[in-house]
Amino acid sequence: MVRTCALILLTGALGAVEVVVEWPELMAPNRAVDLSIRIVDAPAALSAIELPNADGVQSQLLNSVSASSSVGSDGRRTSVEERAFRMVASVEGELVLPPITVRFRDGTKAESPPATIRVGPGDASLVGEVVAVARFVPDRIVPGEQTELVYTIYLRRGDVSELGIAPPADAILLGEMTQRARTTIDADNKQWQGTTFTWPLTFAEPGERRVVGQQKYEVAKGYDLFNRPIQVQRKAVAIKPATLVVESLPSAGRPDDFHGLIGPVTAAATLERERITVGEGTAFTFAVSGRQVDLLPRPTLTLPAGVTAYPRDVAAEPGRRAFTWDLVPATAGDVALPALSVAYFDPASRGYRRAASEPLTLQVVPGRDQPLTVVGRLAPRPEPTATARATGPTLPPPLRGAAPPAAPPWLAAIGFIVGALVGGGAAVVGWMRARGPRTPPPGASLAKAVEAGDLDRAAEALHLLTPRLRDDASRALAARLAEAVDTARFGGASLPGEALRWARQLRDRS
Amino acid sequence: MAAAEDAYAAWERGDPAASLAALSERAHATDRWDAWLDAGLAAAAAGERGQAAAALLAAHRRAPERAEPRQALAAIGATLPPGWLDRLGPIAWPGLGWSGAALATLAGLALAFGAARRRGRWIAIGVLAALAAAPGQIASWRDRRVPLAAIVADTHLYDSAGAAGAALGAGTLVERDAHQPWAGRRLVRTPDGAKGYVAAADLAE
Repeated sequence: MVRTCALILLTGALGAVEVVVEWPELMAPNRAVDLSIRIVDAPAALSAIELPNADGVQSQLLNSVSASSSVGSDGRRTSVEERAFRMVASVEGELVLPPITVRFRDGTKAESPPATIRVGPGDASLVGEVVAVARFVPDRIVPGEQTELVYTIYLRRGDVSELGIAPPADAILLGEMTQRARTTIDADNKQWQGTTFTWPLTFAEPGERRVVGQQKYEVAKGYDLFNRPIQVQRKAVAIKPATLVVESLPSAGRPDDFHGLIGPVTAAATLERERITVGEGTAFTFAVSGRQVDLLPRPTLTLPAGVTAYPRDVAAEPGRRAFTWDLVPATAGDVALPALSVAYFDPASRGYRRAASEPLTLQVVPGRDQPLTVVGRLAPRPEPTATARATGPTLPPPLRGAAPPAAPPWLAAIGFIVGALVGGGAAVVGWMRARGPRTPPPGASLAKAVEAGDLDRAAEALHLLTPRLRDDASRALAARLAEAVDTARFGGASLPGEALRWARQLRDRS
Repeated sequence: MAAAEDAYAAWERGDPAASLAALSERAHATDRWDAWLDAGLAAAAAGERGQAAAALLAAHRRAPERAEPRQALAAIGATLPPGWLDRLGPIAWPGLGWSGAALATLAGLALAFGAARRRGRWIAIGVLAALAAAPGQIASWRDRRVPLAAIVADTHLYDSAGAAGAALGAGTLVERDAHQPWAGRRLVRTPDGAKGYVAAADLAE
């Protein structure tokens, strides 16, 4: 599983033609080992393969050839051609193998990267079915210094589907985990498949970290017709633990301007233009490269008299920080720009060092003379009345509570809401006033007027009510009541006793 | 009022440090921008740069449209970064302070009346008033919320490993990072762009 994943990742990561050889980590002397060369995305048919020709190594191509192609998730077709070769190393020790050169019929060629392998007796620590080893490289750092957690699983048989360890919880990962597969041999010269996982990381706090765990793996007793494992046994093996000591940064020799930078750190200074005329300016940049450079403040730039420096914004990008000043010299001449340096902790020497830029020289040449002709009478030069001196901003006088209070920040929002309410209210009031008072229905007015004996209002209500009556009986009743009211109004007689009943009937009918 | 006069008396006699406690107490009690300004000026006159920067920053937060806190901060060497009010300039003036409140009230009144009575002229007046008030109000609101803090005591910028780095003088204005405090320290960015941690006790926000 691990090996398959490694192959898929490797193949997927490749772009143009690539020659890949899975070199063994360790070879037994004078024992032949069969290896393979994978040529990925060959531009043309193969014409020749030049195997490594080093002292104490004999290589020979075999007849085994295989080719395959696959289509990735991005739709790109990848072709892989595999050629086997046999290699025998006769000298014990560390062998540096030159690249394998693959030539194609179109005249192009490709090379594998050079490799280093060890030749010697097998690794006696490889016993059983699975060996898992974790270690930190280096195993002693200071906070912020990079180390690597290296975890290697050696499989004699079986398969691994998940890793038994992970970086400590307080580790700060500095990059992606990388994976590499290499074969090796045990003391009986039996071949083991080794896969190494590497995490680059660091820690912020001093202390000791220990990585322990159990590596689970699966062993199949056989394979069925479709090459599927059968009778799978699940087992676990203890991982050889890794220990890391994170020491505090030493206080001895610590520069005052140390800002937590861990080496390697480089510094460089550049001038936008090294030769300018008086009145012109140029940009001076001091750039620092390394990890954690964002902790670095702007250094102090000490310049000779007559040169003014105007700092610009700091340009920061991952792993680099550049401080720039606009330099404006007032007089001609050579301006010596001092070397700037930053302090950092050097993990190699376990001490503090400085990364410094080179001193630079800015040439300032006089500007071209322009003849100036003065005409007319020269006015007398006024005597200075006071010594002019540059003044910066001064403290204002105290206000002693005399300043108008500042408007609260919420006042505008409240004002808007209150204004909206008042405006809306005013609109409603205006609408109601335009509509006028509500008058009761004429039927009700009639009944009330008759009951109160108000003959004028009764006549007016009857006048309003009559056109609204729909049936003849009601209109006849209204006519009778109108006649009785008019008789009472103008004849001086009193209303008949039925008048109130008639009025109520008309009210109910309207 | 008499107590306030007493607070200034020692300062007038040339002893601003003696006035500092009373002025600071008055600033906390009233929370007025001019009280904070006077407390900051007294602290600056007494040589307390950290306390001065903190009080002047508080005055600026309460009245970002006023020039006095900015001028006083510049005088003690703690220059404020340019804010929205600086960028907008005269465009923001109508919407600031009491005139901004009056314009907002007028906008609400005219818009509601115009919408209720369907009067286009009133709606236009309301929109114009709102447009006049908006730049100043928005800029003022933004400037109050700039995450600045003042260093109140001479301290150092610490890295993530707890190692002291660059020195930070009292009165320096730093930009607070949005992260939570860590081990009693806050992540800040100094005016020259360096990032690091400062003890929370050394910061006035």
